[in-house]
Amino acid sequence: MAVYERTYRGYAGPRADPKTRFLVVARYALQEVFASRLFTGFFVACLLWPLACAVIIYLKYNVEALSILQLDALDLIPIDITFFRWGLMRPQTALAFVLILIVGPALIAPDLRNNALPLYLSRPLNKTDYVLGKLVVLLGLASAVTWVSGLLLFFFQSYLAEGWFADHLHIGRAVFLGSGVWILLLSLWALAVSAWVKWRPWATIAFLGSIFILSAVGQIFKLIYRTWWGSLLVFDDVMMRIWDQLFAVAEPGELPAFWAWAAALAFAAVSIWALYRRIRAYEIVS
Amino acid sequence: MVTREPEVSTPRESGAAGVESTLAPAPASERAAAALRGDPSAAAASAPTSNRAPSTDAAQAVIELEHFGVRFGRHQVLDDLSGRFSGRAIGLLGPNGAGKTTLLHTLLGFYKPSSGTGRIFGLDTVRQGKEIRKLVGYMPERDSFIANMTGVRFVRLMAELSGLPPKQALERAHEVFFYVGLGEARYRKLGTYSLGMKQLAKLAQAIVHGPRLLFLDEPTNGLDPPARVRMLRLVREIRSSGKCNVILSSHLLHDVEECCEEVLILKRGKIASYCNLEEERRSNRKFLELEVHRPRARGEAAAPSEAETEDIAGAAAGTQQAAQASFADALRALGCDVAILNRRRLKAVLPFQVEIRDLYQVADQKGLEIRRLDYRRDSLEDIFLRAMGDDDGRL
Repeated sequence: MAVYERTYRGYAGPRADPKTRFLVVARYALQEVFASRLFTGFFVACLLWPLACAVIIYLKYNVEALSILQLDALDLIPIDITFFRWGLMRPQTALAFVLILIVGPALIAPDLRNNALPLYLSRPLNKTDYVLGKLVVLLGLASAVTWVSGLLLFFFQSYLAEGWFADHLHIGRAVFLGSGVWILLLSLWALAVSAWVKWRPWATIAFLGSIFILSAVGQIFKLIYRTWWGSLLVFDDVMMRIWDQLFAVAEPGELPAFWAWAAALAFAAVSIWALYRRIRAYEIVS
Repeated sequence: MVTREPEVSTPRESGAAGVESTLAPAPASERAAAALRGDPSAAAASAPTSNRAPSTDAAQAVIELEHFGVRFGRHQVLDDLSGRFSGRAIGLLGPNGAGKTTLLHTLLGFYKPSSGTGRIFGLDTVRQGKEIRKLVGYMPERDSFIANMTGVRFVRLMAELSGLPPKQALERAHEVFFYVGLGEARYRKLGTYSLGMKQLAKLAQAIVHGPRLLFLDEPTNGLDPPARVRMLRLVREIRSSGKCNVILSSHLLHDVEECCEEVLILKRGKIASYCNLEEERRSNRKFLELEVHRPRARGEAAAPSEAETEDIAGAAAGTQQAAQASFADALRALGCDVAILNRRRLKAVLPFQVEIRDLYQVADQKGLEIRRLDYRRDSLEDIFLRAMGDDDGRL
């Protein structure tokens, strides 16, 4: 319709596939996130350490480069479980935490504050699509700095070291599953907090605070009663135990792996419940 | 990947005339006459019984309700609504808390009905919510927007959420912004818009995907007179385009009267009235509103003693009433429809052969003076007040 023809007309053109509708929410949210140069800079910085690790792996198997740099391959750290777990995944999961801390609380809180949910949910989009759209943003960003980089390095190492892949397949699985659990739990929790606290700065504080308070309560419980039950409230303890199990570390911690998985599941369930309680197209006036 | 939406024909497209196919709850003239006679039972009998609004089956209804109810806890917000509504523009009227917004929200699938079923273009509101929301545009009552977005980006997002591919969504977003008159402000952030501009942006997002049914919830809320006129003109244009049915929820009678052909009045969650405004206007014969007084007789002119005053006042009132009743009977004998409004006023619809002079003659015979005589016609306000006046909320 030309600008001068200001009359109402319907739309009879093509429509996008309804199954991918949630990706519209994700795309717009991602555009908002990357509108900040500061965040873009931080995101790029998150990828620097995996890049450095790639350089280490490359040097390890490149005799020419080692001779130019006058280094011995034995001087470089071995590429094994320790390298992947502590050298790569530990810093990367910490960066993923910061990334989710920055992005997560800003995803739902502004929509709630501006009463935008009736607009979203009056479209052919349901709660699950909306939450999925927002979740994809966090999972996508955090995945890039955790398991995607981890698996790329894993395959790079496998490519350079003949026969290494088959012997260390569990490392790849641990990188993928461990990172997946970590970022999924944090993302769900961040979205749940964002759905309950309408003001973004408070949502950020609440996200950080809730994790610290739970950890503090868990630690106090552990100290007073001298039992591992308190660890169920400590997010880091739960994840450590899951990492231990996935990397098949010989020395198990106090917390049984079963209970660590159960706690992670409960954490996710509570987050989803909290999300669904708040994501609705109307305000309840009592 | 793009797919074609299944076509759902609206009553207009299927060639049905919304006005004729609307629930015409008994001939409006019958109801008007019954109401005029001051006979609520007769009015109720000729009107939709309980909450059912009957209609012809000729056209596909825009909205169909079957014992539709919504309950929040112990509070029954909508109670047993039934009817087929197929008008091109339906005004949803009712006092605050009547259930107008709840009805719209439930039809949109925000709430599940606690009883009964609702259908829009034949699609079930519970089972086919997504399909319905493809066909519906919704302009909420409250401020709803995404503050950090420019106007055009916001509307483009809404278009894409409704299924338009990105390119078409952008094109449509620009078009509707020009259409609602915000073309120059489309690159400004929504947070900087004035209230009137926000209302227009809300309208833009509601029509960007070319809906077949538009829910407008109090669209003129908070608008100054020029902005209000502009908003109502846009609503009328959309309605007149024939491509979109409009449901306009408001408590402002004037807005509904200007934009809608039909009115559904809700009262305490029940249908209090459903009528076709045009038909009502046509069928509502002009009536006369008369004010009659009984002049004092000569003997009464002398000032009574204080003790006599009360008795005389009571007697005078009785005489006035008797004279007025006698006058009404005489008019009925002439073939007029008459309703007594109060001690001094009555309404009358004159048949063709009766002239005003006849009224004066009858009044004189009955010892009454006609002090005032006005021609009037039922307005939407009268219809609304009549609907609100019934105790049980039903016609």
